[in-house]
Amino acid sequence: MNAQEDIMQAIVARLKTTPSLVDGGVHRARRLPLPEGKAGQICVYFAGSVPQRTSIKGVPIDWLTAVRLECQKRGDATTSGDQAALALHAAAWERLMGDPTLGGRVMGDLEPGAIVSDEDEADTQLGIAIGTVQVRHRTGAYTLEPLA
Amino acid sequence: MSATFAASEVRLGRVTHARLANCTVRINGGEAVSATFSNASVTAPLGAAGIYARTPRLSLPASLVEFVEEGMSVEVESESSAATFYTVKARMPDELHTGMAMLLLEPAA
Repeated sequence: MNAQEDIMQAIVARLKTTPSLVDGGVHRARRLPLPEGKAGQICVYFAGSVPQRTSIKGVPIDWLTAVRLECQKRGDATTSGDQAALALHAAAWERLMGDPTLGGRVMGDLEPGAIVSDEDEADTQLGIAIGTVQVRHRTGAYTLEPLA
Repeated sequence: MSATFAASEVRLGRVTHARLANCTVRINGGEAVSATFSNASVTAPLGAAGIYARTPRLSLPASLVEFVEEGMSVEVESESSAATFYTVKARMPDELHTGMAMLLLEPAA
């Protein structure tokens, strides 16, 4: 398994551990809307992986891989959509920080990226908080396999 | 000519209300009046996935809802309504002067 896939699977698995963070579940690369009757869901997307260039030939390559968490949540009479979504994102981030090295896959710790939110309004307020998780990791010189 | 057209619009609003009303509503516990209720599904474009949501609303003569304010309770008696009790989210203005008004609703907590 290549290192980027390994990281994606580790993040999704971590977010899926019990107790569940949200009734609509955690999904990878989902393109279907949050169903009616579900208060929220977390969708995880691969957001790119950039190698850190080195001038020395044949040495391991360090990568900065970005993973996007889209946390959707419905508001209610007392909570706005963005409040609900930001709270869900905070819970997801806390869950990830319970194992900041992702089982030793990460150089250093998981790093936060930008967090943004958006809202819409229908029968209730609707919100989304989108946060990026940045992961520094290493592969061999001529492979995308994680460096053992 | 435009006055004739406007009058036609008002008549159309009345006829539509008379023929298409599908529920009875009580606003703030008041007198029961007929109205047209709809609860269309929409997909809110939030994120790559989106969110399915509903847009419950009532259409009824504007003269019956001049007093209506945000937060008032609405009881909807209708076979097409999934929930019976709602709260007024907003009253849309009668922009076209058809004599009909629209109330946007949310399910009561």
